[in-house]
Amino acid sequence: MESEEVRIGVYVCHCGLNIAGVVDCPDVAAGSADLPGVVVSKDYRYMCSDPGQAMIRDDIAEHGLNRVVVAACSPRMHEPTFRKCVESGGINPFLFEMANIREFDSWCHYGMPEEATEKAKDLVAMAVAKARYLAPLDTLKVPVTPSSLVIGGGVAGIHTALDLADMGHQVYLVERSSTIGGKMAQLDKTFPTLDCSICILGPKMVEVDQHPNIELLTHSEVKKVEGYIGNFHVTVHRRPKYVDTEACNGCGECAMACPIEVPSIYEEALGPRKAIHVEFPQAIPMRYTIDMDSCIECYRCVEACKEQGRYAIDFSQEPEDIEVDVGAITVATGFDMYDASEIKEYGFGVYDNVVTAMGIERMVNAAGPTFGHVVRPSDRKEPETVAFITCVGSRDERAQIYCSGFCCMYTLKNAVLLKDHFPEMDVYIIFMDMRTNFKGYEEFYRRAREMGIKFIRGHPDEIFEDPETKNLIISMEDLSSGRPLDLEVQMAVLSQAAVPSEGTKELAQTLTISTDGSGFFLESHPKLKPVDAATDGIFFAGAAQGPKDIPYSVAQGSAAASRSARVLSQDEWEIEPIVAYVDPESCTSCGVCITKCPYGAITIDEGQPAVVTPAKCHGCGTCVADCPQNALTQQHFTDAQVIAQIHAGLEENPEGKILGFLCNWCSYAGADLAGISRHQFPTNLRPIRVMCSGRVKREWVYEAFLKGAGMVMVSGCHFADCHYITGNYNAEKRIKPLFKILETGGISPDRLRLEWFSAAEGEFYARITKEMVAHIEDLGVDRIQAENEKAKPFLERLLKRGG
Amino acid sequence: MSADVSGEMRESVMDKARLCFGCGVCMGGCPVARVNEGFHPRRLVRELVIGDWDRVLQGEAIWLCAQCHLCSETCPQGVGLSELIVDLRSMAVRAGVNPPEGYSENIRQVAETGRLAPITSATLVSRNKLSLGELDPVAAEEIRELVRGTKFMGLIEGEEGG
Repeated sequence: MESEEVRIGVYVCHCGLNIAGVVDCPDVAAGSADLPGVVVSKDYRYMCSDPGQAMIRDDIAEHGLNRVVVAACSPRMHEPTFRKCVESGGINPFLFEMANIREFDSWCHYGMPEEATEKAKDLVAMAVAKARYLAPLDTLKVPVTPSSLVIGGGVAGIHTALDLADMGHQVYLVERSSTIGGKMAQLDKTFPTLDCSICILGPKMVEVDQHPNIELLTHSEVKKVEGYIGNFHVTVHRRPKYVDTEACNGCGECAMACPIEVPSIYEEALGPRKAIHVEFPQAIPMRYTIDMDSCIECYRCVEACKEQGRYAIDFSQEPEDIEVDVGAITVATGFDMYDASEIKEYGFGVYDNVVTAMGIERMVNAAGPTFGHVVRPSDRKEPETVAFITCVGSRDERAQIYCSGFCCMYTLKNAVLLKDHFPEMDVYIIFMDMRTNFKGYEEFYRRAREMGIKFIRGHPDEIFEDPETKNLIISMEDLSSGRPLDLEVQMAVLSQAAVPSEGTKELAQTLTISTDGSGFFLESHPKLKPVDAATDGIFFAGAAQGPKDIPYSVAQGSAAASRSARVLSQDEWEIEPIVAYVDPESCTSCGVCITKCPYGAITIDEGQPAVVTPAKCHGCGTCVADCPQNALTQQHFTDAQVIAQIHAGLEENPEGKILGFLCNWCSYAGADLAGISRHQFPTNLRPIRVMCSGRVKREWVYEAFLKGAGMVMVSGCHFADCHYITGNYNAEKRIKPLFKILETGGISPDRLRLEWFSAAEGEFYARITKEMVAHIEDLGVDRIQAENEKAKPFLERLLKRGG
Repeated sequence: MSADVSGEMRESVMDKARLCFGCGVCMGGCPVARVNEGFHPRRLVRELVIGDWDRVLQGEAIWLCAQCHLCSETCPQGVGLSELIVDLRSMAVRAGVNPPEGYSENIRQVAETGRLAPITSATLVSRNKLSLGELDPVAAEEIRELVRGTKFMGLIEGEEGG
């Protein structure tokens, strides 16, 4: 846009008092009026409101604006809103830039209005500087494969699959175990209505099995995922069942013939199953599976099957990889129950009569291992007194700091079932707080009290066993009386926490999406995008995203289906054109870029310049940063744009400032979280957003020190968490040698920081910022200036060589 | 007498105390509370949270703790009450509270001999029987020097200001 005069409009949002309560917004707007290219600058209470957006559109027409800068919240929040706004005003949506003066400024700098206002001015100046170099871009359109992958066949995944299938989309439902149904299939009754769990879930499972649009892949796991929204290519690894699912009719003669019994996981090890088995009578698919860890290959099952005139058992089966193409993915991998033996003082696994909530759930079930009889394991007698203990592993900084949410209710339910089946039984619930905050739940709590269940407020410090009677003595304070209490019961039931299901971390890496501080999958926005992953086209349903009860999981299952259908129902999907492109004049066909691209988006024909396939390029910019000829450019994150930001951010008092490069997916989001969580720290850091740490060039670091920066921080995702698979590894390879190089030039190596933190680590970002500011203060302005001065010719030489 | 509590210590104690959500694990397991009604660990934390410093520092409770650390082990919120009690004792002494007689005895013993317990001839006979060998010497003079330098005895006996 060199031929055209740059005409920028700057709009500073108050966000009510969210920003204006700390930052002097009119002053920031007034200050930006003098920046080169700015023709109009205003402040307003809510820029995202209708009148706010109308103001921008009107100004575009009235003042002939061709660039717009809005200083408001995080671009992760409202960038799409304002891009649409400027587009409707007649400007290309990529001629818009945002300055984050809320999450990055007012929210984390309470009580320092002057410094926060200064920072806001810098952030606006940086955005304006970038805006001057913005170029119009055309959105890329990619085709959409109208089918979907659902990972996990619990109640949430079942609902996602059924909803999408009913809308006419092909669904691949991948389940790790040999049957769908998940945790709900293990439950006896559901709260607060006491419906029989399998009676309401079973028909849904059958529906999945029979739906023409659902392909069920059990005994399978997702091994590899490539591609992007609308175009995922997925490799599913299927472990052998050693039973031909076409030939097996589920008659069960094989299991009757099988001589091997092992503890059933489905029955919480309270009952046996055979080596050849189905998990439970309602399993879907109703096909047998051989557990090779326990099978002795006696082949009696083969004989039994043959007697039925079938040949379903096949010991020659091999694992296989199945490849599917889908447009959207839903992760519904649920949760695991916390291992109660970790809380040593309660003696689970040591004392016979300490059992888990899931264990009692199976016992009380008429089809369970004890046929509905509740017995204590030590003598198989029905206990006269039972105590339920809540928060085992929840709300405990030694285990899970969070509240698992549904344990209070399932504890009430199990206690009510016991009292209902055995009215003479003395049933206690020991609890810290009773959390019953959904429809019908508090009423259920009252019903439990009416039935005569005894509630004792408190938390046991230890459980002892009487070695003679095997009774349990629960030591605690009865909080209501304030007195110590030793409660003797014949059986104790531990209400375990819900924890992320095994393999969550690995699946997150396969999908290149993030987990939160507790290990559950991290949603894109906690309020407005609760079932979206940060990666477009990937959604969450159920407890994979955090503990949830059944109605909530079902609602999310349908929500994820709806969010997926939004993509799958389109022929084409628009993706951001922030891709790399090659200047064929400068390219020497050296091929370095090919080795940096994790997506195979770059090709070189013999002797020809490199070519980027835009639909394959994910826009990390790693190839751009590593091109020895500077022949590659990343659209919307060009060198000129970033260098303009560096210069603007360090215009005044650079020695006291930290210039930070933050990757969009982890470290920028983590810094946003620091603001959202209202962590407080000094204002010195001037952030520049890049899509990936892999985009950060050494030259940018040189530029920053040349401009006088006190410190520079390069940050990205933790290793193996990179949104672009390998971007952060390349960043580390490129940036790490800088410590030595800078030292050679006279710059203390500890003035450069290379940090990896996730979108969940706001507190970490606050802490390292404080550390860096303290380090700048320790060094002092004089020393920093002297070092920078000394390094100047050295840095200039490096820049000349690199450029 | 109003307790003169040093600000920094008070803050660090409060930072921990305010984490308490009142589950009573500390009280339930406390071996002292079982035999002495005057000691109620959960209430001690409550008194801190509501800011009743006089009651905490002037009271008997902080001196009753046996320092078995069971409460710190089992606390689900990481309050670390047994460690807080050590700080509270220091704060009480700084505020002019004289620890109960047993404590002063122990302190005097350490200050003078460098050992917590007196070494009697019976001790040595027992050690000999158990083949425990010679006792390592202690730098009693250095310890005395340290105690003089810190004016520690003055603190607990009110002879000099702290």
